[in-house]
Amino acid sequence: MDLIASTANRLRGWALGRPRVAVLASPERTSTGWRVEAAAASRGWPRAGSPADADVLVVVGDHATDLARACGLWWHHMTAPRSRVDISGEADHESGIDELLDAALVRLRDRDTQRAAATRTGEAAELLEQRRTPHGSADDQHGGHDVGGHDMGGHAGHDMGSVAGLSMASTGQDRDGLALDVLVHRWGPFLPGWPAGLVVRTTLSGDVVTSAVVEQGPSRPETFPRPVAVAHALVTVLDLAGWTEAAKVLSHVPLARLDAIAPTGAEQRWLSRVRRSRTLRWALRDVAVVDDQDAADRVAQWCEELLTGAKGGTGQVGWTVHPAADLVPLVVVGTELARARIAVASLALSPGRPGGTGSGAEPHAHHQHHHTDHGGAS
Amino acid sequence: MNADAVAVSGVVDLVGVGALGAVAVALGVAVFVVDSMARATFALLGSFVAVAGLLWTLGLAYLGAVTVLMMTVEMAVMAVFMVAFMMNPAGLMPMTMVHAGRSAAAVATTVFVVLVVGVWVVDWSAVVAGASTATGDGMGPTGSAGAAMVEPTLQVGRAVMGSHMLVMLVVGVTLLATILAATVLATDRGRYDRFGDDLSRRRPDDPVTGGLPR
Amino acid sequence: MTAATVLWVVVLALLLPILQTRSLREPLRSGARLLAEQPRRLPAPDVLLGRLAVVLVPSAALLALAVVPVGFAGAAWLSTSADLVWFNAAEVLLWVAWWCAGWSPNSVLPLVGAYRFLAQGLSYELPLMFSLITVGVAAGSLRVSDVLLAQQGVWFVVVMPVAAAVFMCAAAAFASWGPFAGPMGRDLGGGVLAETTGPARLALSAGRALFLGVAAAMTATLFLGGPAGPVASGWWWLLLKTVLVTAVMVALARRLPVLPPDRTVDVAWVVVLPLTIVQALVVSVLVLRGVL
Repeated sequence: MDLIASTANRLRGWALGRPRVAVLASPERTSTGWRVEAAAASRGWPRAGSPADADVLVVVGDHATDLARACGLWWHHMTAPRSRVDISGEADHESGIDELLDAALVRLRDRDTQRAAATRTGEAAELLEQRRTPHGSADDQHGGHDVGGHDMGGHAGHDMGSVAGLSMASTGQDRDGLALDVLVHRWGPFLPGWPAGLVVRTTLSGDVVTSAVVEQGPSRPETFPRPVAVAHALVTVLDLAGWTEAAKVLSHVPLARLDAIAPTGAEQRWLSRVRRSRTLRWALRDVAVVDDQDAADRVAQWCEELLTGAKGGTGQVGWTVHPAADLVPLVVVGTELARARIAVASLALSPGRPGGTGSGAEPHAHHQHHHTDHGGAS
Repeated sequence: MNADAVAVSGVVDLVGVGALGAVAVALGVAVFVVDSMARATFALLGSFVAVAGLLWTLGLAYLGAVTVLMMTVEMAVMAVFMVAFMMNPAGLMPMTMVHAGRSAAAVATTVFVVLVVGVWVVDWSAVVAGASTATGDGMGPTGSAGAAMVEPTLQVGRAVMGSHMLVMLVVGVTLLATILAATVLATDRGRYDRFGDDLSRRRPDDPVTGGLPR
Repeated sequence: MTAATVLWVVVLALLLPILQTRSLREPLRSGARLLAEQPRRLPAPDVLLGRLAVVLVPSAALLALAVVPVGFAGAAWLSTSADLVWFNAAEVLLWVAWWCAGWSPNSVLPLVGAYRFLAQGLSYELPLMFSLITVGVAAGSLRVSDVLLAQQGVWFVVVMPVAAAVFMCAAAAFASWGPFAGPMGRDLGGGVLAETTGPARLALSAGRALFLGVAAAMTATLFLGGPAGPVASGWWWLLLKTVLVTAVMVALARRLPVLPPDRTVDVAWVVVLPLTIVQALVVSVLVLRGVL
């Protein structure tokens, strides 16, 4: 029996040897987050796409209450076996990160801890209590009840109430002026490939965003030399656009550029491949058009910059990896839900305040609510 | 094949047909009993799949497979419209699947009775004989399927592309025209919305730009 | 026969993950990890349809495999007068399966992924049907064994390259993989699979990989002569061709981003569908002229 138990345990340890990891770094500690991601990648740990997908959660930075709450929700939505690492102090150096990841793996493999945790996360009631998922929520529905009534075509027994404590969708005008059901979906503050700390509340009819409000912007995002920020934006867009291989090859360029290391041969080949790719251009064409440039133009320009500027940096101004908050609703409204995410990522590069850590583009984002409505018939 | 084997396979077929028929009817009833559009849709699909199984048991492989193929796509498209037009996209609000119950039941019963009476009244041997003289000229693709038996797939093909070709073409084109007309009527955007009041815009102003130059 | 089928199931399910990760061990480890993971349930899910999806994806893959000639003697497990339609019908069950998988968790992103799949389905299904019809026309039969017989002279990929290419693209599309992974895209946090964990996720992912493997074997059968080889024809040739087809798919997928389904639909209906019809026409003329 002992043999069976120990074999099962070893098998379990082996199975969990390459956990999927999600790194939630506060806007001020972006580069530490990258270091953690790089350390995880060098161990062959894949990046998680959603809380359901994640095994290890790494929280970087001393979060303000709302961000801490969002991290808590991520953690809450992860199923056992799971393991959490908090990096709040100065564990920047590689060895510190490695020790923390090792410890996380040990906890992940510890059967008793995971058993105890498993019974709790499985309870639907507790999830229900905190329905606001990290992806967003369907909990607050306002208005629209009076728009054209809600004719259900004679389906008696359907009334606007709630199921399992969740309120139902309300009605609103869609892109074609039809009165259809709408849903509210919140993006952020933490998502893979999403500017940390940014919260956008979108109204959806089907999968089309009909209105968007920036509810919260990052307070003091970290700034970088331009090549670093450009490299990061590029990798993010490629990842969201589903070009996994390109994103993987280029993923450590941002960190390398932070130490002013030029792209390697393989990286340069991929950069020019991405720049030339007609398919990518076709996929990103007309996405997030700002100043007559769409996402495809920006991606090509970034590749160009990284290829030609490989020898020297451009300018001393710091750049954030966050978009200017007032642009977000403009490029998001009227697009498909997921395309909206690529649109935001393609703009996640804006000049920070010279010499400071704050972003010049959105100093008061907490108080401003940028709002664009696209509900009317066109 | 000896007589015993024929008898056994006959019994197996009978049991199979009975079971599939029962499943088809039960899932058909389920369509009206369940309280969700999604489940009603797939109960209906299940019923159709059971009918496809019946066709299969009767040796009509092509018709069986085609029934599954067509009905599945149809139900999936129905799911699109169901959620687009009728209910909460991400909610699972229970709702009844029945309305105008009495008249619907009357219509359903009448149709059922007519069909069942038809099944028993029609002299099928005459119909089958007529069909095989009309379509079966013994030009099977493999020629191995027995001299008298023409492959059912081939029979269907000859019926559709032979004597009923005109009907099929007219029906097909009419359906296509109906779909196009309905779409045009449902769209409130015309060319002036797309190309401007004097139609001078080079690229149309569309909410979705699409994958090809327009 | 059964031993052959079991072996093929294992090989076909692991083929794509192995080629993709370039590792024998990691696909197995991912599977084991999912087995050790806790299942997950959001408030008010549609459990019944979720279970249906979990059962349906691997079952549809096995049903499709039934008409692929993977036996050691070169025979399929099932041979009917409508094999090609059977394969198509098994594939179309994925419409139901992916939609139910996205619908059941009661969450926005999986549902959007589910509808993306249907949109993609409306793009690939007709071209796929036409490419299968073209094969049927050239062979004069819907039977896979007749298709193999008809390829004794020249492989169908030479006669109908468009149909072969469309079939491979459609295979990636119905498995929602590679450039057609939109329904499970990273921009949707995993889309259809975004909220699913544990054994259910394993069944869906493994079924998906298996179906892709089956589709690669079917590509080899319909267009590359199946088990026929220049010397010593046999199942090993089919296996070799299947591996090659999968390797080509993986190599192409590395070079491409995900194609947005709302743009692909334009190309599918305006460019690809007419091309497949022209391809069917050309092959029909060749058959009537007695060239084939």
